[in-house]
Amino acid sequence: MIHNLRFTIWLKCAVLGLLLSTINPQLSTAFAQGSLTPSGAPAPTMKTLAQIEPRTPIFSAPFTITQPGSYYLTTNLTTTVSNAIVIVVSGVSLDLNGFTISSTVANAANGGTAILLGSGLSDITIVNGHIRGGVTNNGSGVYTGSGFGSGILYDFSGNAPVNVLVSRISVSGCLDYGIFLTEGDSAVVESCTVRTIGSYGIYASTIKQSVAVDCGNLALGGDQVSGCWGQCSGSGIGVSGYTVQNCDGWSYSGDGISANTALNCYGVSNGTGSTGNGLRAYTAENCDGFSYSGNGVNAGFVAVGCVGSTQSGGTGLRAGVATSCYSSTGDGGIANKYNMP
Amino acid sequence: MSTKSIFQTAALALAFLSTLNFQLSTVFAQGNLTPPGAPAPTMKSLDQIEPRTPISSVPFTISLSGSYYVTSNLTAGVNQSGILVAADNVTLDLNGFTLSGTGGTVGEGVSTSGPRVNIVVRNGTVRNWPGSGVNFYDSGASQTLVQNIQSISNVFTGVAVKNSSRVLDCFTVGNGTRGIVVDNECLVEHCKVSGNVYAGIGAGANSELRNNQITGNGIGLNLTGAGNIVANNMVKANADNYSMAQGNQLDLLLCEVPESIDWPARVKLAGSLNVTVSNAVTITANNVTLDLNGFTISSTFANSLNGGTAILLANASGNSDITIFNGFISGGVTYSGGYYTGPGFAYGIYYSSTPPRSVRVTGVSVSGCALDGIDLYANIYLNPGNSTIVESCTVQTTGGCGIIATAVSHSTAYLCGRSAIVADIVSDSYGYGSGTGTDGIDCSSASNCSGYSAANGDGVNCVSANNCYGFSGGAYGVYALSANNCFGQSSSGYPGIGASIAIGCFGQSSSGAGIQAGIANSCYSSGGNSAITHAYNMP
Repeated sequence: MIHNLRFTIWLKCAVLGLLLSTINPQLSTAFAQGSLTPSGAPAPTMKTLAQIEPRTPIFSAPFTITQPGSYYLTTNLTTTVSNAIVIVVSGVSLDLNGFTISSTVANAANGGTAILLGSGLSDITIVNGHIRGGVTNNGSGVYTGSGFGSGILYDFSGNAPVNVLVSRISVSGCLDYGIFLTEGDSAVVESCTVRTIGSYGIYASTIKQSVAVDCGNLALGGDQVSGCWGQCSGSGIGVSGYTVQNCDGWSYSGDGISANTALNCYGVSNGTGSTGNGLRAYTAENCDGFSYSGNGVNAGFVAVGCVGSTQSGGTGLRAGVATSCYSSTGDGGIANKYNMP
Repeated sequence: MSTKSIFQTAALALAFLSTLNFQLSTVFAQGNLTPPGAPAPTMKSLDQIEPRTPISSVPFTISLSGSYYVTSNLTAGVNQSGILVAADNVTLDLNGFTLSGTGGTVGEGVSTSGPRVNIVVRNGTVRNWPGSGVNFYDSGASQTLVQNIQSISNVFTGVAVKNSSRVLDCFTVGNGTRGIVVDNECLVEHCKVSGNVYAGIGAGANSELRNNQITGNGIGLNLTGAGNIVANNMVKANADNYSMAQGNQLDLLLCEVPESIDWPARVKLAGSLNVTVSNAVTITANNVTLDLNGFTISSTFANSLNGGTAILLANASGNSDITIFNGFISGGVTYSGGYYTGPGFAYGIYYSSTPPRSVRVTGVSVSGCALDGIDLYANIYLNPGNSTIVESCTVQTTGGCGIIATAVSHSTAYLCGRSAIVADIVSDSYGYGSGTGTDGIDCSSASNCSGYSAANGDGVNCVSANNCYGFSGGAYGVYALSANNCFGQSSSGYPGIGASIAIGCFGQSSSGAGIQAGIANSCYSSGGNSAITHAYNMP
């Protein structure tokens, strides 16, 4: 009986031990050299290339962006056909990565656009690089050559883009437009240089710290323009905007600066025989304008602290109300003057 | 409980557990005694172990497609070649051994006969051949791969391949012409190429050269055609680092100065660089982006007046489409007793002849130059300007001007021997001129600026000044055609503010008029209004 009892106890212990071992195999290791059981399934310890550079590279042109995302150039791109990069979807960031987009299309009239935006896009950012065509100005305001028609432009057959930022881009040698987005909405151009463009240099809602030189038509046009320099080689406007602040505008025979409100600006229209306004605004404050034989400053309503002058004939300063202003041709162009001789 | 019932319970428990875990039943058994199948061979033949063809002597001609390997170091006789591949689809493993030439006037290490395709050679050394170490070029072979080959001290080329071929992980040194030469549509990657007499790596057209180290050769990179892609190569200490045709896609690491950038390129500094001769980086091409990458370009040239320029725009027609950003330019010029002297650069960023166009300089710091800090040309007042932008830059201690450009914003130029900032448009900036006739800021339109002239220049001198502060030790604090909301101070007999029209301004002078103006409106002049022709809305 005692033997049987001991056997019963041993058997119960063995059964219990086996049972437990099926429930928790680690119990037996509690007193051994440490757990040999892996802590878990093997996991990757390296980063994938997609994790290191999640953006999409662009190696060649023409290239069409059809998916939202972040894209970057890996090299200079040269296109031999019309349009280099076409964006047809909203939600795209494009980093030119310091590289240049150029075109070998012989006649820029057939060259399309370096970066063309499809109709009605939103949330587009384009930064950091160069766009270069081969168009030149013959010195008489005739622009011809190879390359692109435009630098950055949207599909005119559709709607203008919104929520667009173009920053740190230089555009040169295009037949039509440098950077043409939209006014009256949400397109920002900053720290860009545009040069030798057959028509408009930069056209956007807000333009700041940018330069557009040697443009056949409007050099800089926006709702708000600040800290900019625009120069038109023909009869277009140097700088145009609802609000223009701290800008210089120059036109050969058109208005140097044209604004609803101009603050601390300097406008010149001094091509030989030009009758353009040096600076034209509804209200002009602390502005200076010079014209060959038109109006130096032409303030439709109010001029405060402005100086207008001409080279040959014309009117130095023309205003409905002028306060503390000076006109090189006398005050004949001022309807009501205050605080001035 | 009876003994029988105990055994019944245990048996039931084991039976139950065995249904839960089938492995329990093996604890008590000896295993399956049934043979798994018929007996099969367990040994491999020698051909199965090494199916490739051995090569144990040279010269050797491979005339059948297949895989070959070398069994020992092999040396050819005078005017003999090593291994000639006379079939397509051949893989040759040098197996870590060396193929050596002995001299003479002809003889290639590994070569092809005729326009072979799909030839691979790898894993070994070829050296001292009268011709080339590996020559897949002359016979017109294509789709070849040369990998992990050391090609050393051959009279002609280290490794030469023709079209659509790859050269990977190779080491070529001390060859008589080129270390590596590829023709069109080839790839060269992760190779170290040094001490080759004519050139390190040569390429025809549409090839790709990446991540190679090219040092101590005659020419570093020698591109004779267009359409090549060049990226992230260390090219350094060659007699001429680059000799390249136009029309290639270049992403260059700048590993040393002086260097000339003669092609459209994206250039990035590999580290801080010092130059001991005149001019560090010369850019003759258009469409160049120079990323200083947070590093410094410095000079230890003894006489900074002859020290040239850190970054010189040297296109005779005027550079265009240039971007320079993110780094430092450092000379050793200091200011003492009215003089700017010391070693280093004359200019930080400058042009050599025709003014540049479409240039943007951002986030660059320049210090210690004998002449101008950043000079991109400006033609202010009535003349049409240019198209250069300087933003977020700092310039300090320059014997000439600090910054000259079309538009300057969010920048400072301090302790400049001539006018600190000269531009068409200046905003949110600070300029400090130390010399005679030196303005702090000289421009067409200034807004939100501070200008300081220690001597007899104007603090701020412009056509339109808005919300500006100017100080001068010997001239006007603010001098403008129209001044609005400005504060001008002069510690001399000059007025604090001189303007045709001043509105909302405050002028202060030590011994002159506070404000000198044709019209002053709502202004305050420290010395009274005697210098104001027409005063309105003020005491």
